[in-house]
Amino acid sequence: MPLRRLLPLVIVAAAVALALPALAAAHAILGASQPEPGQRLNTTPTRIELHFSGPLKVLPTSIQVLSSTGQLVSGPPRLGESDRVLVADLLDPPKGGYTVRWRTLSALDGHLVSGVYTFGVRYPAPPATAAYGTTGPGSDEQVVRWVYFLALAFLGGGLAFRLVVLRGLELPPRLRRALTIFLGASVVVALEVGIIGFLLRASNVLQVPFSDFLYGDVSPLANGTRFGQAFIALTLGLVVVSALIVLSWLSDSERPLWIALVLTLALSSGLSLSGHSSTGPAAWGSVLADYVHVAAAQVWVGGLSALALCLWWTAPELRRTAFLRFSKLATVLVVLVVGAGTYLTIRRLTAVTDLWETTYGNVLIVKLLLVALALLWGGFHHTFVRPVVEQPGRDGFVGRLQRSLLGESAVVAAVLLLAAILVNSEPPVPKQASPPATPAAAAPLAPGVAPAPVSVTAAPVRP
Amino acid sequence: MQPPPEVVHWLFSTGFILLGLFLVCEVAVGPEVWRKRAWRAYLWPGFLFGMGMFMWAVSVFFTTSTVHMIAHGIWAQAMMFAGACLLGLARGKLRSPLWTLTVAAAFLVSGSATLLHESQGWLFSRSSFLHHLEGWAAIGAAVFPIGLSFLPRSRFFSLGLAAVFFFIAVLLLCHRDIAAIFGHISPEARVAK
Repeated sequence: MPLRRLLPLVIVAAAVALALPALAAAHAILGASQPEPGQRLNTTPTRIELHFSGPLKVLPTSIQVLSSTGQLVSGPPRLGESDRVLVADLLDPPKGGYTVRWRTLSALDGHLVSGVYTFGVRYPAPPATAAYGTTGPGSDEQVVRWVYFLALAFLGGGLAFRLVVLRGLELPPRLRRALTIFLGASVVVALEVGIIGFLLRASNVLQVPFSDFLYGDVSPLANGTRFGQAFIALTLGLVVVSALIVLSWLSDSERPLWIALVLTLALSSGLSLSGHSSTGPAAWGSVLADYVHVAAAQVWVGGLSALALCLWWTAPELRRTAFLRFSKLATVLVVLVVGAGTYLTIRRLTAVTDLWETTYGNVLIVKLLLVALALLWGGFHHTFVRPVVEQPGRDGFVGRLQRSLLGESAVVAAVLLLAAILVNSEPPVPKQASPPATPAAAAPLAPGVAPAPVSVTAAPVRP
Repeated sequence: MQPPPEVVHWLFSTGFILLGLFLVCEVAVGPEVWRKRAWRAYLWPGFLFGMGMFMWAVSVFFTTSTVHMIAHGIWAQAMMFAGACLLGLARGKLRSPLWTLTVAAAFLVSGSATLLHESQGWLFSRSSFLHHLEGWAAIGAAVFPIGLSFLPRSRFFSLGLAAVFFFIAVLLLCHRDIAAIFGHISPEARVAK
């Protein structure tokens, strides 16, 4: 069709769209609020105000302010100075952390919008992930986190395998294509699973039915917590990594992949920063060890998988060289995994008995057993298989190694599952020597008995 | 510190206008002249891919509702996937013109996501109307890349695709009534400022 005949159609369509009645565009979203999300107040607030971008209809549960024990400290909600402002009086909340759950009807589009945030009264505001009513990570979240770990492992390990293990080798086109698909699929799965993981946590925090969750405000979780910040950084980082993989595919150049490898390994720190290891005293040592532990395990399992799944099928002539080279890399990775893991175990367990007395310890025992199995398997490859592979004319033996490599990958993948659970879990807390006695519990002295002298020594409290 | 949503809509609207202009220019001068500079072959696929990358930023920074976050994530992936396939075609990494069908798939997925994320009827509000119009426009627009995958040199299908991009750009400008082209019509516009 000539351009001259098409142009009037475009102009008419544009005119129709512009001439439509102008109403507000989207549903009401929370703008300002008083107290603000994450705010620590030094005085007792008397009321709460939520300012929205559009008009609202008040529901009986439009504002609920809950203490850390779940006690409702807010009065019935009502409209404030305009139909965009929700207000509720606060019933003299004492010192502590508070959760605000709001749920209202957007008058313009009829959507039920909801959200949650926290603040503190003469007390630090708890993170949104610790809002009242939120439960800890469930089994679905643990599985999703494991798949996330695995996808990042395939990505980081696949890149390390491509760039370090296969460095300087002439790669056949089939192997190049297989590795590109392997890396592309890994980054896509990591992106998707990252979103699913974030939404699972968000639905846990919001505590609303699925239909309401669709219009739930998850910004306090995304912007106000380490978990949310790690999610944003990881997602945007993975988008850049995917672009670098596409660029490398288009240009047949390895340089973009080097940047992608560095970025992927850096992104793995997000798993540690968003997990439990980033809290507590001297957290940076713990975070660093956790990062080294997880990143080394990821490269191990990802490299093994790339070796067994990509190279074994597409480039039989490179099997021997790749196996021997990966064996050297794996030795370094195992040292890092075991070294960092030992440091973390010593730091996090307060006593040996924690291993069998706490859930954290129980999971750790299973993980240690699996790590031992993986080490034995890897040690077998290194000590017994490697010398045979180095001998010329043993191609048949080399060809049969694939199942063994996949088996070792599966064991390390299982270790990653337990690592995913441990990253989310609370380590054992040091036990107190004895609970402080309360005056009410003290027994009265018998008549005629003189009180014994009591000596109290005060020591400065360590920060 | 993040820009108001309408500014983001305007930016993407500009992106869609540029996409349409690239296509119109290629049709106007002919593919042979257009590709005399090698980089021009990558211009609109690369721009589409880049817009997909920026759409991810919208998805993770504008999180005031879950459904919008998911919808923007879907649009981002659709644009990146289609852009990557078209880049592969332009580079010669992919040979079959049927890879152009990924653009059709992107339109179908994006249109469906737009319709699914709008829970109200056509005439409930301006935004509902626009969402329905965008959704059905995207689904209908799939016919142009389908045509291009079988007739890669068709001027009709190329211009049709360009027209769709212009149309979507106009709809994006309409989305916020504080947009400059028809600001101050609605009382909502004044308060939203």
